[in-house]
Amino acid sequence: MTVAIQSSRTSRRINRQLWNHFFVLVLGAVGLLVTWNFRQSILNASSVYINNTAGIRAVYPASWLIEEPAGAVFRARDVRAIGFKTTYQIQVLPVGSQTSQRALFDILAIQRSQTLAAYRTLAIQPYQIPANDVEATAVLYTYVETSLNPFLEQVPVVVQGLDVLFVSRGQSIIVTLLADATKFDAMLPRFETFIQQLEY
Amino acid sequence: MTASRPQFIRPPSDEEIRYPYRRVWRSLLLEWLFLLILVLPLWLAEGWIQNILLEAVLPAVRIVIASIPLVLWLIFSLSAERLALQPRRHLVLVAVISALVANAVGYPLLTRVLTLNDWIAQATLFEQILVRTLTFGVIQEALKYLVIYYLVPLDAYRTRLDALAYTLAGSVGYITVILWHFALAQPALSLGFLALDVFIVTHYHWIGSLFLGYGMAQLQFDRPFVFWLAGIIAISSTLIGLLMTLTGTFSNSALGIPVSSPRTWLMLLLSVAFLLLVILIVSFLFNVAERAEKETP
Repeated sequence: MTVAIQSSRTSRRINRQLWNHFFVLVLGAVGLLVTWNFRQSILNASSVYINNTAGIRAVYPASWLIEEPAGAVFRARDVRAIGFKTTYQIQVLPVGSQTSQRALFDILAIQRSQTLAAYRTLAIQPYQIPANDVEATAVLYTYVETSLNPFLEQVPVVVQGLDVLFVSRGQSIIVTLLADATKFDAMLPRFETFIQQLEY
Repeated sequence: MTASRPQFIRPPSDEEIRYPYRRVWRSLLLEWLFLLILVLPLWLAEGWIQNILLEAVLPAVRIVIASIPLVLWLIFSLSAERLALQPRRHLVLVAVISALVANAVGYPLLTRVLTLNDWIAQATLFEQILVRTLTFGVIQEALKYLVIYYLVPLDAYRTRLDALAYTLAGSVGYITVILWHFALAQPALSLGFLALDVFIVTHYHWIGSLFLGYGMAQLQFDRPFVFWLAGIIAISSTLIGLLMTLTGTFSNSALGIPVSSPRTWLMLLLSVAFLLLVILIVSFLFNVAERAEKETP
């Protein structure tokens, strides 16, 4: 009889521990999921930029700093980034009906090779923008960023850039990604989303 | 003829009955005291120490500073355990496996999968508290709990404080790996700040372990409800999240024209205040539980 009571108590104790153990696992899993959700919502948070004069609407990362510099309609920079600040940029250039996209790239390449150190074009290839079914051309290039703070004790940064160029309503739109070459691949998916959400 | 004096058997005095187990609270307080004694000079004289040391020995010095909690645990807990009449088993195993779990799961999960450093600063204050509660609190404490759950057999719990001894052993293994990673990943961080970080990280792990130890003790010796341990981990994790966010937020230097530095003394005071408060609460809860157990027929 005593043995039976003792056995029943032990069994209840083990059951209670198992349930406690189970709920700790549930709590850990919930913690992980909620944190992942926070991460995604903060990292993918976005703001909208509208420029009625240029006829552009862009969705850019919320924490980035936007500017409207000379020579570009829009520029957004990740000012929190350490080292080179990842940049999205939109330029609008008027083009004639006979101007080819290749000619525009050549002009850009000549301009950049004069202002940017060690500028090299890596690839020119067709690029499809799925959202609008637009045929575009992409140019992958690289250069060395030397205009960082000269008092910083660091080696110059190799920057990789991607220009996506397409023609719309008689003007060519150049959407650019500039990122530290070591981070370029990680930045590309979000830039592609940026292009897909771009309205012009 | 002289009357013989009656001979009585002298009852044993309290001093003669030797407590058979290592006293966990005394070990913890000694570790805390020596942690303070070692960290304070490093923090106060950081510039001077950094200047007299050769560049080549700095990484080794960083590892030594990051190992202070481990060394103190080896001296005041493990060696004291060896001197006890009935030493606790599995303490080293719990510490080592916790360290391995921290290195293989805990640290990569927070730094590489969740990449907390990339986005937590963009969150609001409330979100920061919640995220730190869930990550540095819930996930880390759950990992430490799992190690103890799977390594320590039920018959190893002879007194309630055994659970506390195991959670503190688990936390020292976990802390050591986290601090080694931190010391090696931040070579530019001054030795004073590293010492301060060692102090604060140790405090919030101890806070978690104290609550977890109480929760596990109740689970072994009492009949708590099924959400008991999850609730205890949630409470301790909230305190950890709160402490980490407060030390990060309120220690920022004040905005002003003159050059100002972070208010590190505030971080130190907050950590000490939180830990002392938790020690008082948990020791009170342990006393109440032990008294209730004695009074129960």
